[in-house]
Amino acid sequence: MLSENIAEHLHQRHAGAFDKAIAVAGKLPSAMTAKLAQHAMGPTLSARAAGLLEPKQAADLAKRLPPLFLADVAVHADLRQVGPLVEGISPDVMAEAGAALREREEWIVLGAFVGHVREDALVELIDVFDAEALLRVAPFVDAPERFDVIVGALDEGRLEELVATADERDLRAELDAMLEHLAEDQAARLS
Amino acid sequence: MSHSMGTRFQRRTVELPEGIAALGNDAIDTVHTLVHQAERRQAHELREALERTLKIVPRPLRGAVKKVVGA
Repeated sequence: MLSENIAEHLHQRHAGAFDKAIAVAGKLPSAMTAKLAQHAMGPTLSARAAGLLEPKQAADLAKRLPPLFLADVAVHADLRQVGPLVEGISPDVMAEAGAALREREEWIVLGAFVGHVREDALVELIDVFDAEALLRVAPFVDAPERFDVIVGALDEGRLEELVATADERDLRAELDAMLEHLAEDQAARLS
Repeated sequence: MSHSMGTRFQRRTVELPEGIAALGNDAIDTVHTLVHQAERRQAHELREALERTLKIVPRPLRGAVKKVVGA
């Protein structure tokens, strides 16, 4: 994929500088590293450096950074590199960043993250996303097996809202994108 | 951005998927030019990030940071 090739290229082009940024992070307290990520590196460079962090370090930094900044980082992140780090981030932090991404209608970014969020965390995040958001993200979910978890976490009222929203907002194709990947039991609840 | 046929971008940056490559030389040049610009922008941002880092880090820690980054 072109975007992945470019992300890898840009990382490799200045790999030494990113290595040094991570080495600096290792020498400083987490609070200082978080401050540098936000005010010195910014979201684009932080996203490119993030893939070099250890999972524990990434989780520790994530809880010290504002959710809006994390949302910015998510937009610039190469998920092949940072995807494994997502598991360590607490659902509370993910919920706030997810809400910011939903507000910005970053459907592609949200869809790409679905496969990297732990199933139990995914269930906790469901309430962050309204029916329209769930539908608009659906075509961009890279891990369609997660639709069973998502739909399974919706109660009957929210399922009805999902179908009604698909009809009202002309999002039937998005609903179908979800339906075609559902196991029989969840598909029956949605049909 | 202008890409005349006579000024093909010389340095190739990334491997292009077949679909992009099939769009022709102008499209290929555009991608490489944009990637090259992104490289330069990133180099500039990294330099600025280092300057900001040295301003933000408290003086007692600055020496350790300079040693790591070779500044």
